Amino acid sequence: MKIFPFLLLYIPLQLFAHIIPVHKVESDLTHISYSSSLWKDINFTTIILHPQTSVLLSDAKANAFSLQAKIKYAKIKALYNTQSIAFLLTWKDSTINVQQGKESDTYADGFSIEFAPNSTTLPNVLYGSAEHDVVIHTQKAARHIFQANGNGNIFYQLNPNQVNLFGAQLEKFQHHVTSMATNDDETLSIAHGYMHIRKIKQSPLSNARLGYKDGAWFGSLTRPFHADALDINDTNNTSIALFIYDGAELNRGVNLYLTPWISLQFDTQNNDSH
Amino acid sequence: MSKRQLAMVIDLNQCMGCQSCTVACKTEWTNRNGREYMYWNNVETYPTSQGYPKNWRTLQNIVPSIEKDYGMPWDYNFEGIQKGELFQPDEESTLGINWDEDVVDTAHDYMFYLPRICNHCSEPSCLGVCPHDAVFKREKDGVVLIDLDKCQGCRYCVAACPYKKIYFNPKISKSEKCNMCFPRLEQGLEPACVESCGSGARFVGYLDDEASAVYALVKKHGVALGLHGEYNTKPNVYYIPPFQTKITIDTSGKESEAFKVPISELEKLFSKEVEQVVQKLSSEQKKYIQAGDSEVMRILLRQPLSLENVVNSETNESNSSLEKNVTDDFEIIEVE
Repeated sequence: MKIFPFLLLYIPLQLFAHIIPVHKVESDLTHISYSSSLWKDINFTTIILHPQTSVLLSDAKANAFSLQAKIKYAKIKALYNTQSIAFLLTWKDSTINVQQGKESDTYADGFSIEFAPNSTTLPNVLYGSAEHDVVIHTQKAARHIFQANGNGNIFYQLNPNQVNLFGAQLEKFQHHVTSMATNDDETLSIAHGYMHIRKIKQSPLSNARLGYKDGAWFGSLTRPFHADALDINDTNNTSIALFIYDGAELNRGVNLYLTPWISLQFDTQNNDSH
Repeated sequence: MSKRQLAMVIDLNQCMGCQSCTVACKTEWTNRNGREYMYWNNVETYPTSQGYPKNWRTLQNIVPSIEKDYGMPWDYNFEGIQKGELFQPDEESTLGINWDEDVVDTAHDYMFYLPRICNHCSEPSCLGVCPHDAVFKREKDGVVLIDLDKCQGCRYCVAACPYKKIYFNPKISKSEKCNMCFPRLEQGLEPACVESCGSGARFVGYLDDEASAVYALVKKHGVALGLHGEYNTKPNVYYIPPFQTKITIDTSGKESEAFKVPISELEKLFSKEVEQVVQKLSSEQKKYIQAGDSEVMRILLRQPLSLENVVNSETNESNSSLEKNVTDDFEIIEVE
């Protein structure tokens, strides 16, 4: 009778392994998305994400959500070839939250995948530390984001009523402005400690996507082994951490759900199904 | 802490609520996509206005909503009126900047204008909470800026600023704020709000520059106070509180002099020392009216610093012109 409660604890923990199998394929992974057929025959691994509650910041409403938050479950599968590694992450979310162009107090759903490069000793999850950089890919659900593009085309950032254009010319201006917007709020950041995180430019070889279907988000990430601030040489010592942002709970920044470091286990058998 | 600190002094007795500063700032900085609702500089009617964002003093640790707290920015159908449409806004206007400007109520027999910009605090709460190290304070002048490369749009700074002077730009998903017109400063120009001030109510300068009006008003004479010192962020925008007096006559016909704006009301905005400051300003004003020798009043009225300087400069000028006339008209004969 005394053993029984321990068994109850032991069994569920074993269901959520701290290893994610990464399956080998020959196919090109550069343009893989969450809907790709390559994922079809690969099994999901279930992971647990805990709400981050040890650091509460200045947003009273978000903090109230954090203190009430419970764990979330997500499922993940991973593929690799000689050049790239790809992940498919899915989690249930009954509400769709997308960053809108006219709202200041709403937050987008999204996910991040964080890498601890070639580390035999692991950095702090989320922001790393001075000796241990971490690389974070983030994809948020967005609509019409006008990210600065560094091209210096300030004219197209002006309020339409201040550009001294009328009629057809103004319409042309508006069309051009709309064409400059992106629906893809994807960032790559490098961090080496709390408050030391910086967005960096990512190569076209990295690509994250996010879609919603039947009450669940599906996020995919593909990135090269040797680019974008990361050089994965030692596949025996590569770990990732996963973050999920729930906009309904005002998640962003450090208000999020996160996993501990999870080891990647690269298999050597070819898994191409077609 | 920065090596030097640029500061601003705003004389609330001179501000006439013309909104020139608001317009100058708007056209200089916030006329672009996503900034339509932003007013890095705004002028509120005190005490009747709710302010911008609405009731900002009560929004501590809350991210204000554009729709509920600022008001959706609207525009007009300029294109439509060319086609014969009625001139009308494109959004239903329910709230906005200066929505309740100059509104008076029966509970108050006084009002004044309160211009507000980012306070470029010495201990900025926005800087303290930013998890991405995007908010920083410049070493050379103490101006608080946001590095948009680092900003990830999480808005903790918006929530943390007790003055609600950081705005979130939803179109680029980053926070933005008053930058004290640093590109103008670097060209030797005053910030747009200072230069456009019609009544000369604004002074800008370094707190350690003994030749500056800001040093004289804040450090030397101590007649300028930061807004809501109780927030403990050490703001660097200082205000000369209203100190005009009024004569009241009681039922027995006895006259007495009192401040137009009650001290208790000023204490809500400034610290307890506001009473002392107002008394000092009032006595400086009397000195100036009687003898014209108040340095504080001369600075505020942008006059030469002291009467002595004026007399000396006038005397020197007249002496030199006299000498010139003498030399021109007469031949000087040296007497042995």
